[in-house]
Amino acid sequence: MPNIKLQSSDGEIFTVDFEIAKSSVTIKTMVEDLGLEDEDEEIVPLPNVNSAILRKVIQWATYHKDDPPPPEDDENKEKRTDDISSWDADFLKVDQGTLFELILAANYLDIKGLLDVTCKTVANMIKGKSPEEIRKTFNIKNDFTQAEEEQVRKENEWCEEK
Amino acid sequence: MTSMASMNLVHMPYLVLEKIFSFLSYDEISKTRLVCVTFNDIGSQCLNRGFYAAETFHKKLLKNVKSLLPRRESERRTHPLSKKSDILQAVETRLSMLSMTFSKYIESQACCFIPGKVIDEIFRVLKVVNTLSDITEKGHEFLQELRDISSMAMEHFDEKIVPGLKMKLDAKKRAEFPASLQGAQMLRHHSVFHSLYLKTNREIGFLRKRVQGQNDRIRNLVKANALFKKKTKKYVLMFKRSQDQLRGLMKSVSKLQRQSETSSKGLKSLDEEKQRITDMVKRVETCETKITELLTEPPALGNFETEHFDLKCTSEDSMLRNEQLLSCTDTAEPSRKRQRVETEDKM
Repeated sequence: MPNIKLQSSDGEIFTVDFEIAKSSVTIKTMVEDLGLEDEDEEIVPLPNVNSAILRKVIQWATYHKDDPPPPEDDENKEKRTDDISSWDADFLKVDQGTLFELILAANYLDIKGLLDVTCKTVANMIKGKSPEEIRKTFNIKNDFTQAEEEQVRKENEWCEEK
Repeated sequence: MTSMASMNLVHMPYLVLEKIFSFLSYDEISKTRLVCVTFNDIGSQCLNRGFYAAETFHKKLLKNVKSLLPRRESERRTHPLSKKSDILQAVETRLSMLSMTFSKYIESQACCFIPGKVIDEIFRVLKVVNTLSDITEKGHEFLQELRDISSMAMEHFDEKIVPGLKMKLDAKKRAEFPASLQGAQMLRHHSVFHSLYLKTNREIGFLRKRVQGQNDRIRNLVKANALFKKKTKKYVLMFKRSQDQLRGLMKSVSKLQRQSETSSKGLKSLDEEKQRITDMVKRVETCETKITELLTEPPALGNFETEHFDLKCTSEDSMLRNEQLLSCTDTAEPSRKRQRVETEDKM
């Protein structure tokens, strides 16, 4: 089974090499569970991913098809976000909406490598910014009450140098 | 891609946000808590989990190092791993202090493990211990930062945060038991207890009175018993005395009976004697009359002599009998004596 047909939420069908499509644990499990390995004509519907995002996901997966499997998550792992490859960095130079859509797609399709790199990108957008800057960056509304905000501020005062 | 314009980071799935936060240092997480409620919620979870992960990581490392150290303490001191062990022991102290300070409030969800920077520092120290075969820095300098910031965090928490949290927890407890309900319940409980109290008091009073009554009765009975004993003693004595008297009486009665028996015998013979005497008196009278007749009209002499002889014989006979009688009746009455005397005189 060299190819698999993936159908986006808006009905577009993408024919993908199964080896590339297998980077998605969701697709891999689905194909194996349904016994679609020998069926060339079977279409796998992906109702949560639109064609624009699916195209980007396939593009990313194709580029990284020879990558070693990413390491398992570990609480004690180094929290590095500066190890994003330049190709990935270029690839993720997209608007925030696309970035979030990619994160959701990677989460749904269970592509760990893509999820890691997209989340790192968002983490990098948070790093080094004040709360107000973060709110501005992501268009987040401050929904704290005054007392709640004051409480959190007070709790964090401990490390302020005098 | 019109739908993406409305896409916002805070609307991402919880797991995705946690994933994003997992790439931030704990210090950064603690700072981003201020962004919004969602960030605060996720950040707090991450910090709590981070502290727990640090404890677990530390435990694992300490176990590893300990397993490599010799059992004897004197040998441990010179062992190349002794420095690592010392550092891990120091970190353990810090961890337990932090745990004591924060755990209680984390469990009651009043706050999270606030000092993210401390978690970062613990992980830095532990990673150095874990990766390097030998630690070149002196233990004291190596742990300086951890000691400083953990102390700062705990001090601040105890002084500035705990008082507010305590108030919050108290308010939460009160909210769980609405005041009005609590008051009503208390009142109800109070009235129930009060009525029970009164009832038992009444019962106690009643019982006390009964006990007093019983005590009085017992006292009276004891008195009566003593009196009865005295009386019975008296009666017993009296009975004994009367018995003795009765015995004496019986004796005297039997004596008297015996006496009466003998006296009745005497009486009989006396009566017989009386009869005889009266007979003799009659005879004497007839004799007298005959004599006087004779004296007045002198009868034939022969007759007179024979009659006189007969009389003489009978009188002698009766005299003899009289003597016999006297000997047997001691208690003969004087009248009888007189009679006898009379009869003797008459003789």
